[in-house]
Amino acid sequence: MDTIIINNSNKLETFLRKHYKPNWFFVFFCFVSILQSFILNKFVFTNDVFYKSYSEQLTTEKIQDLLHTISKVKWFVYSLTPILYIIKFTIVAMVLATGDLVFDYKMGFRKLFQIAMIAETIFLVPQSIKLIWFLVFENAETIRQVGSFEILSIYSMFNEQDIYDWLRYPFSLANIFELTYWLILAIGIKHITNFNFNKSLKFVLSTYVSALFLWAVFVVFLSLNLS
Amino acid sequence: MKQKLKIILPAIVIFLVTFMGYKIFAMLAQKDKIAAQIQSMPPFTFTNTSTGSIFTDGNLQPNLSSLIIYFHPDCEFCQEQAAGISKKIDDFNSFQLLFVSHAGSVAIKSFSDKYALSSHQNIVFLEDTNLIISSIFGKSGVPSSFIYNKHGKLVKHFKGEAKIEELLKYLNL
Repeated sequence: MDTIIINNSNKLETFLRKHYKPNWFFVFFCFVSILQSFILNKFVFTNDVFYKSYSEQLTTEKIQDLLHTISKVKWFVYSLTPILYIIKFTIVAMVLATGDLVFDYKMGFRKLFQIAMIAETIFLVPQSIKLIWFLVFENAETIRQVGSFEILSIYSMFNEQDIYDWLRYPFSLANIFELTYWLILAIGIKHITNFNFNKSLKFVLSTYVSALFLWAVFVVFLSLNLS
Repeated sequence: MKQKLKIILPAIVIFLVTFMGYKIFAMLAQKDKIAAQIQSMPPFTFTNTSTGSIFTDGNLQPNLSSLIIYFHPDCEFCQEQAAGISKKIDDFNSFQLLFVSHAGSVAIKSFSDKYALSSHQNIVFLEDTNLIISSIFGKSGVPSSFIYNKHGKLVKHFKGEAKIEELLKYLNL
């Protein structure tokens, strides 16, 4: 397992050295992410899906108002995507930088930010699978149905109705792509330090994964408090 | 300093996880208790805003389905739900409707007058003077609607605004 990861990591390093341009990478990443959201909103979240989702709660006029409001603000929301990603990469880099500071590894915030940015691309995969699934294999009936499509996660192992609301977030967080994200972070750390892969992975587990666990507990705490 | 951080940071994480974990278990136990409690009409005591007297679950008419709406006069969705009920008030004649709010009696009265709901015999506006509704029906946003059948069993709980047709559908079950 280690050998496979290290070999792949070497190939990745060679590729990145040749072709990686951080600014263009960020632009491309945001473009793909916005494109995915656009396709999802245009072809999966159709008006019918909104009518079916809110038929118990809202009158037809209210649903029309809601759709009108969404159509007015959607471009503004798309434009927020780069800002939200910058915030996310900054937080991940800060968590890793805290470990860097404590253990005195001298990795540097800028490099950690870039590692966070590269690792984030893995999350474009489940979103693409979700898009293909609802465009090709299944018609979306409700917003909840699309939202609860969490492929290769603990969430997907249960019947949606059997999961308590407060467990939805931690169950959807525990997925193959999240694990891969940790591995990519570790490969990135290995790349900018002289660590072997195991030491890099331990660093990721003790910093990012600890913070993620704390965040997941906080989200559960908050969702129970508010529901 | 860095040696201290190696101890302080994990200690903070462990403390926060333990604290929130403890609170999560306490909240889950409370939620389970309330979920069981509201399956039948729970005992309650509120103040009737039109008479100033105490209104309890014992004052409910037996053999009538009940709709309890937790609301706030300033909430836009509550206003829309009240306006919807007002428009179809005749369809609600054979049920008892309880509007409960923690807002003051003046605001509640003004709300009931605005939607012409105060003069109906089967509608009561109640003030939660002791702020106990969350301990009886659980933490809920406004509006929240609880529908009990004529045997006092919970048939539906709507979180947020509910369509009038849906309220009537479950009241008629």
